Parts: sequence; C-alpha cells; structure tokens
Amino acid sequence: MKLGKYEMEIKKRSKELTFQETIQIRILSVLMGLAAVALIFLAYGHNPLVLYFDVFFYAFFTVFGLLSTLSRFIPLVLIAIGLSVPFRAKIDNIGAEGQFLIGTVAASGVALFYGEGANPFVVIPVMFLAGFLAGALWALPIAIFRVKSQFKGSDVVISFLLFFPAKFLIDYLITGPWRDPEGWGFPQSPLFPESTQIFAFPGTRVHLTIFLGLAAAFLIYYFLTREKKGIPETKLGYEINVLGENPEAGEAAGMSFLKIAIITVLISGGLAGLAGVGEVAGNPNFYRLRPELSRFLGFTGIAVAWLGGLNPIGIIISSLFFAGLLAGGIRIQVSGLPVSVVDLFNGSLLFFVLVAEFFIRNKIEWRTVS
Amino acid sequence: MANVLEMTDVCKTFYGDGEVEIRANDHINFTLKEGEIHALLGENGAGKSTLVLNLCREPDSGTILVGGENLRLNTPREAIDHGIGIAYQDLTKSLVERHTVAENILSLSKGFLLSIETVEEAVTNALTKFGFPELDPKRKIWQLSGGEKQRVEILKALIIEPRILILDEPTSMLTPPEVENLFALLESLKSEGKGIIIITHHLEEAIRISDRITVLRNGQVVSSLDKKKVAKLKKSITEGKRELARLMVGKDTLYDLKRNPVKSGDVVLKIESLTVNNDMGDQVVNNISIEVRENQILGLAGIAGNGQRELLEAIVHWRDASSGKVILHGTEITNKSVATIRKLGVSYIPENRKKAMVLDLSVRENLMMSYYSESEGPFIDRDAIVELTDKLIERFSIDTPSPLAPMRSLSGGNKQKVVVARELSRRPKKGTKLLLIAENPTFGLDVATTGFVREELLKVRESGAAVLLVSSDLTEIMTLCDEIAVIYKGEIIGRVSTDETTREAIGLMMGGVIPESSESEVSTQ
Repeated sequence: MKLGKYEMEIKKRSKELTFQETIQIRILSVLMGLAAVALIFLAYGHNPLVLYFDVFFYAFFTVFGLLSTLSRFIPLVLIAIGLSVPFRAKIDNIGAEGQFLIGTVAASGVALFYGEGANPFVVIPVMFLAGFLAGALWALPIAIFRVKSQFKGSDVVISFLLFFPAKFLIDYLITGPWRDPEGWGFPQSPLFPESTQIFAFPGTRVHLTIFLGLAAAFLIYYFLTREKKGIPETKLGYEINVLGENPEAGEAAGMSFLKIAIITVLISGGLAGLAGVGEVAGNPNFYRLRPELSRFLGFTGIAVAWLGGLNPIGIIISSLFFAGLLAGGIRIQVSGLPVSVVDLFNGSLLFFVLVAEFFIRNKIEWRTVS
Repeated sequence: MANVLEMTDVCKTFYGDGEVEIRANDHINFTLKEGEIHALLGENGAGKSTLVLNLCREPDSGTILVGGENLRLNTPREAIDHGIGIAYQDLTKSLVERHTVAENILSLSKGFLLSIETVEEAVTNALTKFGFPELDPKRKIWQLSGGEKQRVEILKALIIEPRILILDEPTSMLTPPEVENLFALLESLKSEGKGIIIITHHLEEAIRISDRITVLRNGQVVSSLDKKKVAKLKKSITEGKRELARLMVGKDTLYDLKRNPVKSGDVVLKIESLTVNNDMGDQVVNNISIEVRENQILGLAGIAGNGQRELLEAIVHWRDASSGKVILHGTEITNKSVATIRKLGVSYIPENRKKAMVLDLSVRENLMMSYYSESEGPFIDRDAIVELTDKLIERFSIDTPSPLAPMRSLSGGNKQKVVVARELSRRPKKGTKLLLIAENPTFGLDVATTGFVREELLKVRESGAAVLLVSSDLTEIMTLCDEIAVIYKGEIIGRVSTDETTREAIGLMMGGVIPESSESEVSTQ
C-alpha cells in the first residue's frame, strides 16, 4: 500500500517472537483497550485513572469484591477454555452464549423433573452431563457448515445466529410450560429442589464448579496444547495444530478436517454447556431458570480466549482479569456512569486483542518510495 | 509497417509459496506490428502469459510503448481504454460463473445506468458480425460448455474493437472446425490492420496462423523468427514443428546424473480407464490406463493443463474419479479416503508447495506429518518421532538451526528438502513397495537442490519404489525416467522407453504429434 512518499508492506514474521515479547504485546493491547474506554470516562468528566484503580482495587483487594470476581471467573474460564480449542483449529465459534444458555435449559429440565428427593451425587452429575450434551449438540452445526462448503454457510454467522433460538427457548419455557406457579407472574421457573443445588461456599457465590473449570483447563493443556520437544501429547492436538495453520496440507496428509471440526466444536459447546449448568444450579443468585442468566458471558469468552493466547494457562489469567473487570463494574455504576459502560470493555478489549494477535504473527515494514 | 506495441527489457519476478523466486520475464524484448499475427510459443512457465499481462499489470522494470506512447498500465480497465483486448487463459478467473454472458460483457462498459438489454443486443450483433454460432446472452456462464465459455472470453476481447488483440490459449477448448472459424476471423482482422498476439503451444497452429513467432524459455526470448523464417517453416509443417519443438524445449546438460540399469519388478500402481473432471466439470482425463512397476520411474510428460494434475489428484483422492479404477498392490483404492490410500504406502510431492507444508509449524512438525499416525492409540510416540525427524534432518542435510525452528524461516530449497525427506523415507508394510508420486518436484529450486532431489529420486527407485513423475521439464523427464508416457488433451498418446527416444520426439508428442519415424516404438494405448 502506498501512502504518499512511503510504501507499507505487511509481512509475516519469519522468526517467532519470544514468550516475553508476546506477553508485552498482549499487555499493551489490553492497555490500549482500557485507554479507548477511558475516553468515554473522560467525556463524562471522570478521571479514568482513579476509576480504573477503584475498579481493580475492589475486584482483587477486597474480600467481597474478590469473591464476586471468582463467581464470574467460573463460567468465563469454562467458556474460554472451550472456545480456545476450535479457535486453534481456525473454526470461529462465536456462539458460546447460545451453547451456555442451552446448557442451563438442560440442567433445569433435569432439576425440575427428576430433582425432587433425588440423591445429589447422582442428579448433579446427570445435570452436568445433560448440559454438556446439550451445549455440544447446539455447537455441532458450526463444524458442518465450516467444513462442508456446499452449504455455503459461515461458521461465524451460524454460531452467532444459534444464540437466538436458545434465548427464545428460555423465554418460552419461563413464560409458558416451566413458569413458576408461585412466582407472582415473574418470568422464571420454580426454585430447584435443594438436592440439585451445587455446593457453594457458605455466604459466597463461589461453587464447586470452579474445580471443573480448573480441571478442564488442565486436561486441555495436558492433552492438546502442551508440547514437549515440539510434539503435542496426542494425535488430536497435533492435527488441530496442522489443520489450524493449513487445512489443505492437513487434508493432503490424510487428516479429516470435518472430524477435527466436529470434535473441537463439541468440546467448546460442551464446556459452555457445563458453564451454564454451574451458573444456573451453582450460583445462589439463580437456582432457577431466569432471563438474567444471559449476561453475554459467552461473548466475553471470545476476548478472554484470545487474550489468553488460546493457551489454558494464559486463559486462566485472562479470565481472572475479565472477571475482575466485570465484578468491578459495580464501582463504575456507583460513580454515576451508566452500567452499560461495562459492556464496552468487551468490544474494546476484543478489538485490541485481535489487533495484537495480528502483530504477533505479522510485521509492518515501511519503505520510502524512490 | 509501424509497431503498435514495443516492449523493451521487460522484467517481472514472482515469489511463490515458500518464497520460491521465479523470474517469469527476464529482460524480454518484444514487438508487434500493425496487421500481423505474432505467436508466442513456449513451455509451461516460460513466461508467455506473464509477458502479455504486463499490459494490464505493471512490470518490475522495462518500457512499454503502445502506438509509440510510453505507458504504464496498471489495470485491465486502462488496457481496454488504450485499445488492448485480452482474452485470458484462465476462464475460471476471467468469467463470473454465476452471471450471464451479457453481464460478463457489461463489466467492460463505461459509465452508469447502462441497460442490460443494450448489452444483450450488442452481444447478439457481435456474435453475427464475428461469425460465431448463436448464443443466448441471457444464459449463465456455468451453464455453458468449455468451448462456449472460450468464445465468450474471445468475444470479450473483440467487442471493444481493439487495435491490439491478445489471445491467450484461445483454442484449448475449441473443436477443429471452431478453430478454423477463429483463424479465418483472425485473418480478416489482420487485414483490417490490427495487431494480434496469439499465445499457444500448439506448434502447428502457430506455424499456420502467424507471421512472426517468438519462442520463450525460462522467462527469456530464445528465438525470434521473422517473416521469412516463418514462411520457410510453413513450407514443410512437419519440419517446422520439429524445429520449433527443439527451440521450445532446448538443451540442458547441467545435471550429470547416472541412471543405473535396474530391472523393474511387479506392478505397484495400475490405472484402468480412469476418467476425471476438473473443477469446472469438464472431463480432462479421458480413459487413461497406465502401470507403474517396482524399481521404475515412469515419466508423465505433457504441457501443463493436459490433465496431469487431475490424474494425480484422482490417484490420491484429492479429487473424485468419475469412472475407471485405481489399483494399488492389487487392491482397488478408487475414491477411498486419503488416509487409507496414504497408509497403503503412497507418497505424494505435490507441485503446490502449500499443500505439502505448514509454514507456521516447526520443521519437526512438518516432518512428522506422514508418520505421526503410525503411533498406536490416540497418543503420539514422542521418542520415536524425535529420533526419526532428527535422522531425516541429518540424512537429507536440511539446513535448519534446530528441528524446532519454524518452517517459514528456511530457504526455499530447504523447505522442499523437508517435503522430499518426509515423502521419500516412508516405509510401507512388509512385502509391498512405496509408490511415490512426484509433481514437478524441482520447480523453482536452485541448481544444487534440483540435483539433490533428482539424485534422491533415483535412489528411491533403486531401493524398489515405483515412481510416477510428472514434470513439465523435459530434461528432468529424460534424465530420470525409465519410460515416458506422453499425455495430451487428457489422453496418453504414446508410451516409449527413454533409451529409444529423443528429446525432440517427446517435445513433438507433447504438442500432439506422434512423429512417424518413431511410430514403431510407440505403443498407443
């Protein structure tokens, strides 16, 4: 591209950046994302530095705030860990929100119809299983549309649109067949029986699902992403690496892109479904199906996964960061700004994180035109 | 007569996948006069298309005079504005399949608010004017046959009433009577004073139609035949074709490789009346039957685009075969999954380097691509892979700082060495021999690596493998192959033993002519 006297060329980096350099670029991208939102704070007449300090101090250095951060961390880490798997194979599942919601529906169904008087050690695993299956099933079309070109569909569009039927299904259920008869007309399901409520640490919204999130992160790390001597543990991990970088070469070597696409979206849909189960049956704010379950954590998960470098350990850190930002959002509200400002972080950070991804792989060279 | 086009010292370099540097045009001088037909001849990759495309896409250096005016044309639009009509070779790129004939022509018009009816009428008028058979301008391109598409493409070039007409392989899909019609049309345009460039590798057509002939090889002009010389060629077409074939393929004695005599063994790959379609749905492989044996390199010689690629892709099932059989070690593998076929001991070095390597992964991960699936269960046997890849790097002297260096950081030659090392070292199950399919394996490589790759191909042949080598480089075919099959328009038009044939004979056959002198040696299938 020519700009006056200069010519710009985008080139792929032939040398991989060191770990430190990548981290620096990522941190810079986060700062730029925060700075973009800071402009809005300024427009409202607030000092962004004070506000950000307030947000992060609350989220990480007060007991109440930290607990609130951790409760948001649970669904985020599950969703983002799941998303990182198809993202590595260059399959764009941006519909984790829909898979998350359908997971809450499945869990609610089990809880409401089979939960009364059941053994919690049986019924809760069944709820998780149902949530996993429902989320995975909801994600399945993404793989097929991504790989089978004759359908002329796009993984991005399909995955996003599948959010709406999930959302409307919840609206239908809680205003129709599953409506709480004693709920004074509120659109919500009856309270889940106690046997189906996941154990939460007393007085907090931090429930046992947090261990499921950490376990998922460990499993994905151990089996798929960790490389020793440059070789991943499993064939699946290797095939995801190859197909993600160059599907043509992978298929030429006999790999099946369809198979990998299906496996990766099932993992991500399933984990988003698990996040839904944990949220509806573990977060003491709910224990019932309610419209407020959809807080777009599924979309936030996209930014979380990329900021974490699609690496489970990075994702745990970035989940904590985003969870803190969401939890600390209450401080923004307190300062008199509209609460929806918090939603801006999603978009702003995702944008800069993706730009950073681009610069991690490419570089720009400037030349003067002779 | 005045020159309508003068190209001086034109250079154009491309950088292919894996940073292969290709000098497509290397200081070329070319002129076109008013009222003449000038043929550009050359093998695939000689730089013919690149040369004329310099008229709508700036060359790296050199001057271009159109009608005496020094021009730098950057877009096809500007070329049209200066009266240059080009019918491109690759119809998939120059015609919009989902649009109608008229809509494709409409793209040439200037200004706004043109009615499609006007264009449709203009198309119908132009068809009658140029003597083309009738064609409904409302039909979509994808509904047309190959020949009809080609006529639309030619019409696109003609309809702007150009002073310079450029036809890139205009006859590849036309039937002989259609070719006759086209040539009559060109003659009449010539008498109107237009300058015409025709790019072809049909030697006979070139001699018959043109006034002057320029032969390109490896991006350079090897010979420019003036009117007198072409007239001499016209007197004896057979002689002329021989002469041109010799110029086109040239002589190349850079590599002194010795092919040790080895007796070929059992049949490894057997293809029975295979038919394959290309991406446009045209049948480009017609009823081909060939056999490749152990300890044998069979060369498939032919000018690119005669069905070689589709044939190879059908063998490894990157593409469906529409009928016929592919038999490997006596088992039918037609349209079986790629993984199944590869597991039976089939290696493939594709011409498209992008399909053979992953630039963003490490050298080791690229080397293990054909081996990782041999580990049992869902896990990868890490120690075995490390040992194997280290050994391959050493044995093929791949120049990399570490096995973990990204593939992208390697030089072009070393990248190809990685692919060759991986594909040549595969060991099929006991009792069977490897089938290696190599498609232009030395394309774009430097001299040293080219020699290295060719030596390795000979070594793998001596170790018992059956090799099917497709190459548009005749030197490669002549030095490496035990037998040569020549493919022309999707058919094998001759199969000869390398020791009993000559370069010229093969060159002629690639142009579609079976030389009478060697008829006895040719066993037509």
